Amino acid sequence: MEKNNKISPKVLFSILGALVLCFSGIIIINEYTLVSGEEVFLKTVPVDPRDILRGDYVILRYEIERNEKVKTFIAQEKLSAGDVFYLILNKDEKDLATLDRLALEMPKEALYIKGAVGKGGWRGAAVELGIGKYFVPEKRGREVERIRGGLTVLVSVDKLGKALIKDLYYKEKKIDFKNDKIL
Amino acid sequence: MPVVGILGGYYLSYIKEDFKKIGDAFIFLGTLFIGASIALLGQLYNMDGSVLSLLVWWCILTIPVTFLFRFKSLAFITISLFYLSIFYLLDDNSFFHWWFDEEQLIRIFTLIPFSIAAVSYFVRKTVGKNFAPVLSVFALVSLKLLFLSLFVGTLDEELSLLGRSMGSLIFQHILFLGAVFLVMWLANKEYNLVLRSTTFFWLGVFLIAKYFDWVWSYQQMGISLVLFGCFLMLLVYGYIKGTKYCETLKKEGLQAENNS
Repeated sequence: MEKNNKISPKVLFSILGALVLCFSGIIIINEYTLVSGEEVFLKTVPVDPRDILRGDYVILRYEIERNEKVKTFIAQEKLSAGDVFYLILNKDEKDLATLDRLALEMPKEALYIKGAVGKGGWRGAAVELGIGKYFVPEKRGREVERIRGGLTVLVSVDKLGKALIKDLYYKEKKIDFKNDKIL
Repeated sequence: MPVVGILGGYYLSYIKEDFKKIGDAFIFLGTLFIGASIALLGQLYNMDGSVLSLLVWWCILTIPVTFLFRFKSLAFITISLFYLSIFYLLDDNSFFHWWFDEEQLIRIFTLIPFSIAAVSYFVRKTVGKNFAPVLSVFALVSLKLLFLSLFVGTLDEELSLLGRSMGSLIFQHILFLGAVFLVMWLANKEYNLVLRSTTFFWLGVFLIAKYFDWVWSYQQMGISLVLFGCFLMLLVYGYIKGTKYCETLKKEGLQAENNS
């Protein structure tokens, strides 16, 4: 390797500081969502088994994104891929969230998830919610793949509508990947 | 991990100075850890990011480290990440995973490498002499990509830069050969062996490809054409070998004369 001998420590520490800031920024933003966010359960819908597992993560699709209201809203507002909108949710006594209505502007007082119009087709979701992947321990994804229905996801939604996955649940029981068998 | 790697490398390589190679290796590893850390955070928080966003962020965060330490290996990683990002950007915008808009791909991979190679060359010549190792790697990788795109454009009318016509295909050939000979001239002028061998490589690839293309087009003329081509190649090979043999004999003769 070749190098010039003069390296300014000030520049070096500025770059390293920027790196630390960048990584801690990602951690703080996500921790904020996980800690301060409102917890709700979202029902998933079965995904084509050929697509559900790519590598060591599970692809998740939700009932709220497959709702007819979403399709109608996208068509009515003539939204195209990448356009942002908000899915306003209702929460029942069991913390299970269902879709109430949709809005283009950020709602002031409600539980909502920020979404964007996806590419659709077999390759991507029709609506991108940012919670489409769940990473599982190596070689454990096939077990989740076998579950057809009854799978719910506990997500934490912050005030800005950003959602993050906390855990997977099957028939109201948390899936623990530490066990030999998840079911 | 990236911060520890880079900082440790800096300490070993620039402060201690006794462990330069280990220090350099630490800095290199630290840069690789930038990408690994982004991927790890993505997994940790189940973030729904794409390969494209990983590559873009990795490239952006690697650029300052590359320009600070000015290693050729770091420059190679940065420019590779940059071109991979563009490739994935085009892939992300295409409907099918395995299908690209080839014409768009060729145009983009002609225009961008040309711009980067030209800018790197002129900046290195004027204000950026301190960054010569980095800029020369940027220029070399970009030139290799440029030659590849221009060469692919000569293979089919549909892939040529100016559209689907015989004229554009001829223009593409002129453009490819012009670029190769221009760079060859520059490389000879600057005694740049790496650049010169790159141009010879692409000239060789072009000649072989065109010969087989020609044979394919005139296949009905029979096997004699293929055999004639093989005979020509053998003739060239024999000529090179013969010249080298003569030179060896000459040297041996001179040595014998000197000894006597």
